Amino acid sequence: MDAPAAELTRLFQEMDAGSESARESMLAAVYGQLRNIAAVRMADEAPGRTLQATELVHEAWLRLGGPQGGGAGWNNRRHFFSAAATAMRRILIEHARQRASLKRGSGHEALTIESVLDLSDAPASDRILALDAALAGLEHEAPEAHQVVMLRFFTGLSVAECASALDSSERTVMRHWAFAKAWLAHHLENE
Amino acid sequence: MSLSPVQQLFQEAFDLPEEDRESFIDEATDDESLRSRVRSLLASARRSPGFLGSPTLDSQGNAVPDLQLCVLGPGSRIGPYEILRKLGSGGGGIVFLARQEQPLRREVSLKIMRSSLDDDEPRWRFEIERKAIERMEHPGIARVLDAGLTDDDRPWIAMEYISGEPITTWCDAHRLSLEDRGALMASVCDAVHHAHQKGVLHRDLKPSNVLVMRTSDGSPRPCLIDFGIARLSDTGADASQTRPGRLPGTPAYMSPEQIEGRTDALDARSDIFSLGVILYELLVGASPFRDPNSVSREVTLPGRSTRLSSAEAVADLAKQRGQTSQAWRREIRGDLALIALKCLRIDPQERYASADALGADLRAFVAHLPVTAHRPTLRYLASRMIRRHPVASLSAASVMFLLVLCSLAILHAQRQAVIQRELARAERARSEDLFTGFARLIVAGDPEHGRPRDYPLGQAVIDFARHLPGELTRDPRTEARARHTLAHALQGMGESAQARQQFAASLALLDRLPPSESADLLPTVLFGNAISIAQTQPDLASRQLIRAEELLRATKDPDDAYMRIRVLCQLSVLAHDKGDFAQAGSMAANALSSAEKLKSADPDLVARCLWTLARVERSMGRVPEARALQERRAGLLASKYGDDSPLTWDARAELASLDVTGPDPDLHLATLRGLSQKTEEHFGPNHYQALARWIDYARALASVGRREASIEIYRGTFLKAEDPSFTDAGSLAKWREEYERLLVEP
Repeated sequence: MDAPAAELTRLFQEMDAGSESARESMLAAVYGQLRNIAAVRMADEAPGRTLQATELVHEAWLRLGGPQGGGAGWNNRRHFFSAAATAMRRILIEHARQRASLKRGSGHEALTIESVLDLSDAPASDRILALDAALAGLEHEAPEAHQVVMLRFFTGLSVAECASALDSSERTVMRHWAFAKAWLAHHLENE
Repeated sequence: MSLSPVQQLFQEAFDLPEEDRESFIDEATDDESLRSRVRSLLASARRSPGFLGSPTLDSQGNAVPDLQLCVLGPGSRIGPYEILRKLGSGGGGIVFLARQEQPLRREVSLKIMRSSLDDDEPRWRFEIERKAIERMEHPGIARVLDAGLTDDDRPWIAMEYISGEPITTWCDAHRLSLEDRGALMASVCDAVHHAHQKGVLHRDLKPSNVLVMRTSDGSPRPCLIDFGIARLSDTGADASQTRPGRLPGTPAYMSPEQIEGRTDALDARSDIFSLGVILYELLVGASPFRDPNSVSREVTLPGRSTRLSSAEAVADLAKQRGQTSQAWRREIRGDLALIALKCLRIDPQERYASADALGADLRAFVAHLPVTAHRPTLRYLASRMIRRHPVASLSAASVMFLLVLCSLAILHAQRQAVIQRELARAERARSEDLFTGFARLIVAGDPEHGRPRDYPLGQAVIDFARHLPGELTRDPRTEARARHTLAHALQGMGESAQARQQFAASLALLDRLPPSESADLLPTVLFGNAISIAQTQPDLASRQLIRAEELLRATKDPDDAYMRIRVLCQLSVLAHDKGDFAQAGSMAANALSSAEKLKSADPDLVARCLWTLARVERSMGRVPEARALQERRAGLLASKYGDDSPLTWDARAELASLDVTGPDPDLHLATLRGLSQKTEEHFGPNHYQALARWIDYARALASVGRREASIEIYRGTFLKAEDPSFTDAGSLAKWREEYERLLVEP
């Protein structure tokens, strides 16, 4: 086992035991990886090319040594994806703050992860900030629905993967997702 | 983790077709701010269907569409069923008409629950409920054919499709009389009772779940649908039951305990409340509640319903019931109203205890017999007043006190004039009560009333004595007579302990009545009570018999003379057992001469006197006298009952016991043994008579010096007496005493 994988395994074990500092370390590690990947991609890619959340997260997973560091267990993947979603959201917010634009979209338009992740321009930067605020409200109103949005929107998990990660059924995930979408759309409309 | 009210309501509404959402939200809660928040969320979801897109991408980077929430409609398949059309939607889910092709072609009603079994709801609970429902097998209950879970974990249930009309609509459309409505509801009660016995509550009884159709012979047949289904849908949405301010469906037919969400407290009596609401509507044509959709269960008395304010409305409603306005106005204050009101009591304890009891009262109403439901007593009304208005009642109580005083004064003035008529009516009411009350005992064994086919009469008497029906406890005199009758039956069944209780209860009731009302019953009851306690409290028994003898001596009635002779015999027996042979002899002789003087000398009575006197003579060592008396007795009994009856056996056993000390003891011993076996076969091995006969045999053995054989018979008899059905502890103690004396004798 190489160094990152051993580190990951240790973090997973400590997170299982409920360690808050291990959670923080995991978040820091994922966050660092995601930033690096995004920075490299932006330098490499032509403007207009969007990044994919799934791709970013997957690469971060590989670089952190996930496949060797306990990647098989869903419990570990849950820890990882939860951290990845938070890290991703943080990166997007930072990015959006840097490029805050006066252009405002409306809740009626689709707000896709692709448009948010279009790092070359900032058409949706202001909306990602509004989304962030709405997400905070959602977390208060419906913590489970909030978690579904985090996993699905920021790390691109499918409904089935999300159900598996949350130890829930696909139908329950779909119902949370539907509620979360309605909630967020409503709050962005009225923002 | 439980969902917030906003999310819960949003999700339930979101699962519905768009056109049903608005009405669902209106029904689901009366919290206006909750309603408006959920409405605006639903509006946002409708305006921005693609919001947030489909965040999952495949390996080529194309968006993967999310799976759609299952929308069911014509053509969809659930299990082996194909949905044909929607029949309706209610609190728990949507009902479809569906068709099955295999293994047989039929149409079913398919109910699909709105909420799924959530992750923290174990499926076994669903399975248990489903099995309970499938156990029900009654022509008045739509059969559950099949049940399962949809792809998205929503429970579905396939039921027999009943093409009937709701009971209220049907009765009005066919202008059913109140009697026919009562009879129809009695059939509904049979079905409900069947389910209750299988441990299934309906929980959602309302006219649209009580359908009526015509059978092939044209008579109406009620059929209940959705039995126990409400519970199945609970499995997925328990939380919604307990959240304040939210009700699953309409409360119009719900019991107060259901409205309060006390799901654990629900029992048969909650269904009975709902039946009461339906019954009230069948009678009055309106809900019993001022506001059916509120949580208040305050009942409007049938005569005060607002629907009765216009003469036209009254005429219409009466016509639907095949009656004139006047007759119907009278009826809605009658027995059927009382039955409905008894179902609608707030306290479940005051309602009918079972659907069976409600059905019996409805049948009594149909047959113009008295019903157990009666007008609330003054005390009941007062207690209700005080509960509702604790402070105001202080002054209300003093007003009521004055009212009662005035009424008493008026009553006293009227009393003299009406006293004769009243007495006659009271006596008639009492005999009707007695008749109806005991009729219930006979009906109790009828398998139609839910009892097993092998419900033994003995058990019926015991159960009946434990819970006397209302007709028998309404009036103390009636109750005393009923308990006395039961006591005799129990005594005859060998249930001495229970017989004693009933005798004592009967005597206590009579002792509280004025002598003019108790005089005719008292001697019989005193006698019965004395017999039952003769072994345990002989002195008290003697005093009661002496009291009875004094009462009886004063009358000229031939029945009383007969009774007095029996009392004298019993007094003789008690005196004899105390060792007072002189007293015993004079009582018995008195009894015998009185019996012989009776105009129609009854052989049984004379035989009893002969037995009593013979017993004294024998104890005084006058064997020839005793023998002569027993010989006469045996002759009397044999000529009345023939040679082969328990009483004749008894007489022959007595003779053999006397003769055994004379010549040829073996012959008499064999006679005694044979008679013991016969008695045992006749009464059963643990019956008092059989045991007493064996003891006679053991005594005879001992008297001719066959000690070992005697001991063996005693022991065998004691073993039989260990059976719990033998309860005559007094006799047993006496026998043991004899036995122990025999053991220590040289």
